[in-house]
Amino acid sequence: MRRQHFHYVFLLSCALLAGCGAIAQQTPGSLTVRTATVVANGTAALLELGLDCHLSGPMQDALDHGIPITLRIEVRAGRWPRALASATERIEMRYFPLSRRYQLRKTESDDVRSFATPTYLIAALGSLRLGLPGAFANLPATTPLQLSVAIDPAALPGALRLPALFEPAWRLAAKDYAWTVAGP
Amino acid sequence: MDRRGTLNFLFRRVLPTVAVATLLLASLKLAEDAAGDSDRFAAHYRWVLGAAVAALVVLLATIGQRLWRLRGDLTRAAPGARLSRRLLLVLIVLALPSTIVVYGFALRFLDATIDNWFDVRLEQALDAALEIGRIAVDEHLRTAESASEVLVKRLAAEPPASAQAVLDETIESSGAIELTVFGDDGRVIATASSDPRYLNPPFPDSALLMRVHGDGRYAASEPFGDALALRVVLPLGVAHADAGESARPMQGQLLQGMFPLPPRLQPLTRGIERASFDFQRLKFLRGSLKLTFALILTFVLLLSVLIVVLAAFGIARRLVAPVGRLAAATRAIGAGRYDTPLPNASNDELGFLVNSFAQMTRELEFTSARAQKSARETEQQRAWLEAVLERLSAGVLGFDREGQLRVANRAAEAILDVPLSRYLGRSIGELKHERAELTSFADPLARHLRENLREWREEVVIDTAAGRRMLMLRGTALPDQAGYVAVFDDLTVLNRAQRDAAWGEVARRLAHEVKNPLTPIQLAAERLRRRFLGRLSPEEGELIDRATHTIVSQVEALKTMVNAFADYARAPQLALRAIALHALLDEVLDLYENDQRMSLTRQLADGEPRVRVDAVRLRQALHNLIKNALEAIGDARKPQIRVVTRHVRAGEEDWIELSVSDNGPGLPADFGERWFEPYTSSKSRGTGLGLAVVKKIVEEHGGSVRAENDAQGGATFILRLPLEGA
Repeated sequence: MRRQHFHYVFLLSCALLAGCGAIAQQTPGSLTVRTATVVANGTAALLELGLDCHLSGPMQDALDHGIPITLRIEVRAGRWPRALASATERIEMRYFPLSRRYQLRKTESDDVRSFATPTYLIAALGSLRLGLPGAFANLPATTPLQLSVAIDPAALPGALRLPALFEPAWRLAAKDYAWTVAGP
Repeated sequence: MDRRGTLNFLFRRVLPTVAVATLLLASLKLAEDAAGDSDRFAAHYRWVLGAAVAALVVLLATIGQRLWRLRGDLTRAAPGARLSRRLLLVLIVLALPSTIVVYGFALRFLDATIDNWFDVRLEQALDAALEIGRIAVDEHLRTAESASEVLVKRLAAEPPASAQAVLDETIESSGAIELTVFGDDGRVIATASSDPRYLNPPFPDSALLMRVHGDGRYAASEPFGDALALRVVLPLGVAHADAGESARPMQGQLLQGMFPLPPRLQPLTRGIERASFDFQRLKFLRGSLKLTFALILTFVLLLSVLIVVLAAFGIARRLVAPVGRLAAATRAIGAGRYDTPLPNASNDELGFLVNSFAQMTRELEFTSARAQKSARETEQQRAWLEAVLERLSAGVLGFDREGQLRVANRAAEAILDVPLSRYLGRSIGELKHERAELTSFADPLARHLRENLREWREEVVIDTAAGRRMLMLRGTALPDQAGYVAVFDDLTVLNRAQRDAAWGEVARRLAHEVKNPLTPIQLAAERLRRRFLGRLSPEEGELIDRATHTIVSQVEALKTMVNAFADYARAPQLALRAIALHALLDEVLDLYENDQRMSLTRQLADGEPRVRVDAVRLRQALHNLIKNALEAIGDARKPQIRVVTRHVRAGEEDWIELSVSDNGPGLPADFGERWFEPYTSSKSRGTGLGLAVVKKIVEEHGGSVRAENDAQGGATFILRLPLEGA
């Protein structure tokens, strides 16, 4: 009886290990902040952002099947915990099958760009210009700025949110990028 | 409720309930999210999942804690624990298979249902519709492209300054919604729009420009907002081969035209795209959907199983608690505690059982009290009987019908000199086997037991360490064949007293009857001697002299003997006082110290033992013993006499033992108690009263005398006297 129990436990352990191994073998995507600059223009400010992005296979596959991939961009000025200014932007990447076009859209605005191939879409992430609140236009020099970019799991379809919590292929986050406001 | 009670309530009631509710809500939330695309709680997805896992852990911990408690109850055999385990197993076995079967069927049903969504023909139809849509769009794209080419030619034919006028003129006739001429630096040279939404024309990006430079044109449908637009970009400098030489030098400038799809086609293409989009999206999400639903079902299964287990624990506890308390009460009643509280009787079979048990308990309590009273009375009677038996001077032995010893009083042990308590439950034959000296006692007893006589009596003689004893053994069978009782008295002392009295009578008679005629005989013999010794011839005179001398000497001897008897028979009038025994011994032994006939050694105990004696009588006893030793040794060897004293403790009393040893031939083989009686001697000389007097003196002082042979030869006579103040 005990040997039989041990047999079951052993098989279950093997299945769990195999599942964990299969998950671990998925190649994750990569996301890096190459450059980030806040450009003040009077009372307005722009975030000029350069991202190096590589989507994982499942992400690319999802994109080709019409699943929008949304990147959440958070920028924060000031030393923690006191924030002088903060903003959150989202960029949505999406495919339209009829026109066979890939679209890059800033969800907070009507700024839309479309591309014939995903390569151009990804390449377009290398030069983004995002509008920031006016508070960013008047930051003192040497104010520390921090930027975090990651996939927004909340924007995924409901059925995909749970696997995205466990599967490495659905992990896409850049290391926090920090810099300071340049002097006048 | 105290703090411990509050914690107990929190961990046993509140936490499991909260955990169940959490798990239920989490399952519902996950199901809602999986089925739709609600993003109301999307940002808290991790928390929802974490809460579900935490709830599972709490439930598992709760069940584990109850299992552990059940295991403890089973280990210490707590009342109701085994029944709880059995009920728990039964409830789980009843509930678990159906739950697992439903789970399996639900999974299979879900899998099949989701797969059915993706019909191949439907997918093919959607692909075909999409392709038709693309063809329709391409058709309009070619039309737009043609219109754009016509415009390029016209722009090439017109001066650059009239570009805006050309666009304004053409915008309506070409059907475009926006026409723009970009300079080589990306600047807008001219633009016209028929739709306010396209007042700000988008500049072609690098990818588009590469297409234009590579293919000489760009024409594609592009999504704009929620609509589809046709975008054509043509270089103005090389607009068309037909332009030929008329082409103007507009190198680097671009014409961009945005054309709408016909209004009739817009919703159709949008519908086709959305349907295809949704289908592809669902197709991609099929695996995730299954996984999510499987996870939700697993949560539901776990929830069901854990609730079943918890409920099983609760049901088992509710069912078993009264039984357990009944079992505990049974044990308590078994241990004699009748005041153990019973569970409240419910209105069911269990209540009937509790009521019956309560009634049985009352009856048991009453019966037990009566039995205890009876036992107490029996015990009192037994104790009383035992006390009576213990105080009897006669020995009493009780045997059951199988002849096994059941009762023996202290007097029996003392008379037989045997620890009879060791032989309780054993037969008289076994006693005889282990105690051969009791053969003369055991044989007649066993014989009478065998013969099953109603009453019998017999006189028996046994040899014990204290000497020979004469016993009067009587027996009787108990009523109803319950066994036998044997009673025996020690007649030894009585016999001895009778003999001593007889000897005293003899001595008095001798003194009276014999001593009185002796003096006239002696006087007559002396007169004969005085009258005839000088008158007769020498031969006759010698005869008279010898005869009268013999008569006188024998009369003296007779007088001495009669006096000795008189002393023996005289009633003791002791002058008792406490004296130092060693000092008295030294006085007596010093008299013999220089006696060349013998060698005297003394070995006295430490200290100065004091005895309460008549010193004169004790001296006489000592002289008698030494004299007895000297006579026993005779002339064969040089007498060696050793006098030893030592302390002994016997019968919780302190004694001093005085022993006189010699190196003579030892005691005769038939030496016994009889040798301490008058006229018993192995010697040819003496009155035969020496040892009898010693014994009489010692017994007058509450002591005793015994004799034994030494291992190295010779005999030892030992006097035991009570120590003063002991």
